[in-house]
Amino acid sequence: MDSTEDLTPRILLKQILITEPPRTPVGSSEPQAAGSSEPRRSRRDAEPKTPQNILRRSLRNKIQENITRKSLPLKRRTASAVLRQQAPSSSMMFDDGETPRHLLRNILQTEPVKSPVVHDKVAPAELQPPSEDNTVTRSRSSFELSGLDLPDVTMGNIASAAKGLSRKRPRQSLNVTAFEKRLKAAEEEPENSIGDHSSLSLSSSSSLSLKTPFVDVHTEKRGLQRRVSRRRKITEEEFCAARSKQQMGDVSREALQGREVGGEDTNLAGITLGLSKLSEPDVTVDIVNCQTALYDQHDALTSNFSITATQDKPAVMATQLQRDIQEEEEHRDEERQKSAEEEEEVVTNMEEDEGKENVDKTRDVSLKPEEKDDAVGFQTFDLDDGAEAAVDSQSEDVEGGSEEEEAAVGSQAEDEGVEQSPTEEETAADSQSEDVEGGSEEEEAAVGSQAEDEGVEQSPTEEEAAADSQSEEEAAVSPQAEDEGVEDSPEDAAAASPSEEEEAAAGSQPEDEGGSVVGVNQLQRDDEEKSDGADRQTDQDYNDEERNQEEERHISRRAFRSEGGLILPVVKATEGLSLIKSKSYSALGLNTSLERIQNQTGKPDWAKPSLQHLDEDSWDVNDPADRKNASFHLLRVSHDAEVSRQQEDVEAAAEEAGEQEEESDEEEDDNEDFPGKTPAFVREKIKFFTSSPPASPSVSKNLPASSASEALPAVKPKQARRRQTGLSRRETVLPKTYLTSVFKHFAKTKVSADVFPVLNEIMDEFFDRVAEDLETYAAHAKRKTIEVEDVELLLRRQGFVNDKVPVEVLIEKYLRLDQRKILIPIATSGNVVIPKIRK
Amino acid sequence: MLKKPSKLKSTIRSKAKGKVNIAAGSEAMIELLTLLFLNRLAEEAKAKALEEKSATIRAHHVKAVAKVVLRKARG
Repeated sequence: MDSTEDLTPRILLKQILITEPPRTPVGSSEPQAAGSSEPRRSRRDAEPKTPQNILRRSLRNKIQENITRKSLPLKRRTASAVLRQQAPSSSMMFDDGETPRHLLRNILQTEPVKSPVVHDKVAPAELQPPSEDNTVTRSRSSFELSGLDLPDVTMGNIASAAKGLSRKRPRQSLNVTAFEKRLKAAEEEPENSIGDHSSLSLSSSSSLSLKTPFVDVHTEKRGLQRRVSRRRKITEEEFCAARSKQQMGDVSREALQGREVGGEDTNLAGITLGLSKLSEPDVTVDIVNCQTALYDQHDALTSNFSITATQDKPAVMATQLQRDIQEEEEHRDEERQKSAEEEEEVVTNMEEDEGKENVDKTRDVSLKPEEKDDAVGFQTFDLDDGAEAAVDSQSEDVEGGSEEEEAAVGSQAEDEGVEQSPTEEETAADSQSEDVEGGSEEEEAAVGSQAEDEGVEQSPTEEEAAADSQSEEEAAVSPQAEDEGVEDSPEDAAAASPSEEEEAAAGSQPEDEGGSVVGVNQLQRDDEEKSDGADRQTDQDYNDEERNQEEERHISRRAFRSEGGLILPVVKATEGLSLIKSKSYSALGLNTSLERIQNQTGKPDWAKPSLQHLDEDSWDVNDPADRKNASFHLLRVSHDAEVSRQQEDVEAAAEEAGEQEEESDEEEDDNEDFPGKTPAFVREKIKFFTSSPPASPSVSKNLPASSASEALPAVKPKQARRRQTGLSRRETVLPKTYLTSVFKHFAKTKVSADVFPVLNEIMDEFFDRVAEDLETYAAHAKRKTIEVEDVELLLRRQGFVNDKVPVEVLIEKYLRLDQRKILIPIATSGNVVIPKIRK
Repeated sequence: MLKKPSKLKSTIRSKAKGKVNIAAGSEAMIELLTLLFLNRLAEEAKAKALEEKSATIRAHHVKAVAKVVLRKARG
């Protein structure tokens, strides 16, 4: 009937129920049977009245009757009418109860494939013959049989109908006949039921039953009772299911049945396998859905958090960077001040205010560009190399600071630097440079070194030492102490001699300088101040007392600052050094400071020139005033330098200092001897002068400065060029034309001209990073040469090269042919490969 | 691109902390690096400029994207 329906016993039952009217087991069956039999008979009449047909009909009727019987006890009579039609046949079939039962059982066991319609015809025919035989058995198991029969029939019918397979029908007919035969001989002979797959189990064990699900009747008989019992439940459930299905609907029946059955009839455990399954998954699905929903939400939440978190980071970074760049100076000042105050109460910052002002200015001006880079990169003074420290120290020295102070500072710084970190050296250098300019050399140096130390590690102790030195006797004592201190350090040995000399010279200035500490501070400040030449002039007035005070403050400040960015101040210091030099030279014995600086390491550039200047000035003009001024300026500069350095510029300054250092390194060696230093100093002086064009005007203002500057010009030319080149190189790492052309080419749109300064800065930063990375890679490979593979690794890490994009592609895309030739081997004639592949 | 950037080698050497030599081929590779970086920078700046509906790339465009591009080009 319903070919589209799934072929299940239920379906078959349903159909049977529908088709057949319900009947009472016995009473109604007969009249109905009679009535129904008639049509059947008529049907039969229509059919050829062959014994086979008759048998089939009888069987069918029996089955139907059984079905109806079962339906009646179940009290489901919706389809009973349908079944009743078969009642008469079924009544007859009662006699053949077993056989229809068997049939049904077989049907149940095997999935029904045939349609009920077919079965109707067959069943009655089949039922009829066996009815005679199975009356007895039927009576016994009428209910069972009926139940069994129902499903069997239904199944069989449904199956047959469902399959809509025409082939079944003819088979059914065959099966019927075979079945009938079997039925007759079923009881007698245990026949092996043929595994019939067809829905109707009517087929006998004979080979006829091609696909009838009907199991062998005989076999069934043996295990009849058991199966029947089982069957009952199943059948009942199935029946209920079938009914429910019918009621529900056609298409959705099955689906609903599953649930309904599962939900409604607990008894339907066995039957509705599919149904139960259907029901279960629903729950599980729901559960899963609920869970998943929850999970999703949770995930969303977490993801949101994660997103926000990740977002925060770059934002934070950016803000931090910006802050660093912009606020460094301010923070530094604050921090330094705070730290200074905190750490050293003793040290009074007399000149701090002045120095601070200068520091701020200088810092702001000079530090900004450099600081940005430095701040971003290195907030903590990571002095990778002593060079940085050296640079700082040099810068400090250059600026000035009493020789003694410088020496002391240098010694201290050296000790510190050697022991602790380059930062100290830097600070020492800074302090030294400051000393060069002015302020008590020794004290300054001590202070500077101390400050550095403090900033780095031994803040309190050194400061105290510096303070002590200051407190004791600014001039004589401190220089002596410093000298001693200087002597202690091996490096200072060289400086010691000059320091002593300086001390002598500085001895006259001790008071003015107010202790090396101050001078040191000044040095640092001076570095910064250098850029502000004007400040120096004004500072001169304050020198003595203020300086002392400042020095103390400087010391404290230095401690903090020294730690930080010494670089920028150093750089600035170099610029300002020229200015300061003029002053410091006259005022302070720069030699010692320079020497110290040199000793410290690689800080010779600034130190030397400053020292030279100082020496010259000092020798030329032993003018305490000048010295004071110089020291004063140095102090200020040192302050500035300190501040700027301490925080972040260490590296930047170091870098810059490195350049300068390189130049000065050469000169350092020359400066061992005081007299011998002059040429080196002169050279350095010249360098500084050339390097700091802004400083020059201020320098000119100073008489001493002018004198010093006059002395310088002689040496200037040589070093000026170097300075310029260094500076110019620093300003634009790439030729502007090249840079602009390339950028325009890549931009493919108009590019305004104001872009290029920005571009320069960016490229500068970029090259810094590239150089650092490449150097790291080469060092990692224990090489001193940057090789192609290093750069390739860098490209890979940056993401330009990956598995999809090999290096060669990029090479071919961007580089010129001459470059490509070097990188990608080309095979030429004669089995020659260019370039030679080395291995 | 069509012209060799001058003093690349010296720039890198100067910026390097220690003493490093640069192989011949690696100099070309460094050129490649700079070109790639500039390319990326230009693209980003162009996008930023277009975002502000300006056909010309200005300094503030470049500045705004510089940080990001620099960070990307770390390694």
